[in-house]
Amino acid sequence: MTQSFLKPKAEPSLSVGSGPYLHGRQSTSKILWAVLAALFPILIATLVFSGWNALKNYLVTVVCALLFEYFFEFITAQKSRIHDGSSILFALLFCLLMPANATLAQIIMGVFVVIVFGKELFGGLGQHLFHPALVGYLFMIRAFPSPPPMFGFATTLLIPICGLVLIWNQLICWQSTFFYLVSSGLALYLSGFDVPQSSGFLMLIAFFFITDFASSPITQEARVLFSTVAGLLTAAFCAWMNLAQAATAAILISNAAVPLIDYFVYLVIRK
Amino acid sequence: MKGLKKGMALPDFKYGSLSSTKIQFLPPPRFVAFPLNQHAGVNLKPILQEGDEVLVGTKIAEHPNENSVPLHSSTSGRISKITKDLILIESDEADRMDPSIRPRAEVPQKPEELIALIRQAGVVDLGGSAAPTHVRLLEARKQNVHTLIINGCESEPFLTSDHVLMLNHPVEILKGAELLRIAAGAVRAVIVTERNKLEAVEILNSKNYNLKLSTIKTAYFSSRYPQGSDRALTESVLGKALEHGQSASQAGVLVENVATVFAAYEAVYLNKPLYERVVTIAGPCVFEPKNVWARIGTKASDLIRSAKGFLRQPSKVLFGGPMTGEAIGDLERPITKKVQGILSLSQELIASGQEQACTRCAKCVDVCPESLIPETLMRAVKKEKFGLALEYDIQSCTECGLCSYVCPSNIPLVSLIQFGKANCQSQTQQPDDAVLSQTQS
Repeated sequence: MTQSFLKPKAEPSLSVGSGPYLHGRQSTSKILWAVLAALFPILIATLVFSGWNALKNYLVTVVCALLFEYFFEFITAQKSRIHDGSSILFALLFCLLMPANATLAQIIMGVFVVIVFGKELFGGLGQHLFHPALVGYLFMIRAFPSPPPMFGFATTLLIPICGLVLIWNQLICWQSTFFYLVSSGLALYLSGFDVPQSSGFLMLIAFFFITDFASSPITQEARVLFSTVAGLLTAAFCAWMNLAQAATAAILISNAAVPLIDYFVYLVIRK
Repeated sequence: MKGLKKGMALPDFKYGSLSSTKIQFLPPPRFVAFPLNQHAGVNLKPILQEGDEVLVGTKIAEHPNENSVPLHSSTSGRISKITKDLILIESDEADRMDPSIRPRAEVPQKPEELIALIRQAGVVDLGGSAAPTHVRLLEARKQNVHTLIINGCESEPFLTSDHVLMLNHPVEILKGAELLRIAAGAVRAVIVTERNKLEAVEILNSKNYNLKLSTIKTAYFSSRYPQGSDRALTESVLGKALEHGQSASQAGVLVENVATVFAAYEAVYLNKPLYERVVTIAGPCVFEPKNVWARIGTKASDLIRSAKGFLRQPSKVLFGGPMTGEAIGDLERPITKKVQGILSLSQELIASGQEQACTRCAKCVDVCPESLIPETLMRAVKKEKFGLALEYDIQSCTECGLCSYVCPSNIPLVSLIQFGKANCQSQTQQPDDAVLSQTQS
């Protein structure tokens, strides 16, 4: 070995920066694509139940979501963020709530509301106060009253499996899912509702909707309270409307209460 | 006993420098340099002139302030330069020791004498804070501390200097722990490690079988960062949670690092001042990761050369661990007493993506060992609402770095919180208090 090799080179590229100098290599878009990957088997299973019309809806949804986001960010002169997967996720979640016989015009209109009014107008990824897919669904059920989605047995079985994979990998918060399922399930059962028949829909909400980061509280304790309240409200609203409408209204109202829940839970846990 | 609940298990990367458990002795470097502001608040004054001859262990700088400790030469030779903030010593490579360094005939047992010896030897907290040990001991006596915790957790990735010190010098650490226990007035001492250092626990236990120091116990917890923080250690050893705002010493606990304990042993038994310490040279960019006895004042480049130089160009070179350490821009910087390791990190370990908007994913809240809400603190600091930051308890942050580590949006949470803490402090406290709290932390 020569002397020059032994001598460390002090090159100007040695930057200082700020610590810590180690990173977990996790990124928001990785999380979102992982959730999309977990959603994929469920989408496939619904195809078996609903046929080719659903496939057409899904494809239109994905294309429209990307186009709407791209154009919105182009018009508002922002850097394009379509690669992060959030638009596709929210639009597909919206599409899952729609009945399989929905027309293309309905789907496109709904996706527009999801992307533009639900997500982008609040400031894009992570800034929305209300779950964008539910904002879109709320618009659709006011504009075109439709029956709630039904899932076949295969789908109902797949939802918890895919959701548990996400929980196992710590990509979604188990407290939200668990307490929403328990509170809504118990309350609906006690009020004489046919819980097994609607279990697929409840689990879809519990694993993929209530666990959205941006529209949930930040501490685990607050998430317990948030999802319990959302579950109880879902059961209460079922007295006046069908389950999908009730869940939408319950979650959106709970979303609005998130800052309050965050603040009061903080006051209680941090005396 | 249960370990830390929050925090997280980091990838430890310790295997590189543990391929040999030896601590290598190095020949003296040509030059050693001593910055005069060794610990916060006090600037030492040189007591020798340029051209004066020094031996290994000769006192070269001190300060009349009783919270300061003196500084000693780590090589023999002569003082080549004294500037406003630096003493440069050129080595004669003969390594002549100061004659006063020899085993003491009678080991004192009075706390006051021990504390005086520890101060004279220049012992500071070698776990990273560099707070003078005699100040901590006096504070502990004032608070009537009952338990001395010897921190051998070393929960930061890459660092193994405390681990190999426990493997190589268990008897010294046990005797030093007994000395510090007497000096602090505690009734028991607990040497705490993590599960990845079980062989160190075994060695300490078996040596204590012969020494029969009944006041010293060992304990180990699962490997979880930051198990080595004062709060986590206190809660784990006492088995109960501290009250909000209660410090370790208020709970009757003094936490000292194993390297400090070893230095205290040498100061008392051998009359040897603190002029060298174990330093881990590691990281993916260094050719031969290892642990060395590094003389205080050795330049980083000399130590990296002793590990056969760089394998590839590092993007960062750190003093200390990757979570709380400090990046150095200049390899000519000398090490000080608080440097546990020199790490050369490559780009793939460091956050490289651009900062994105926070998505409230709550990963920072889930890991925070102090149960803070880094997300809210970050928003408060960004909007310069320091009152809100204080309400959300920004001053409890220990800057462990986990929130930045887990953040999927690459937000530099720790830097923002540090900025916020500095601002809150300047708004609420008098400058004198600020200096005091820095030296105590």
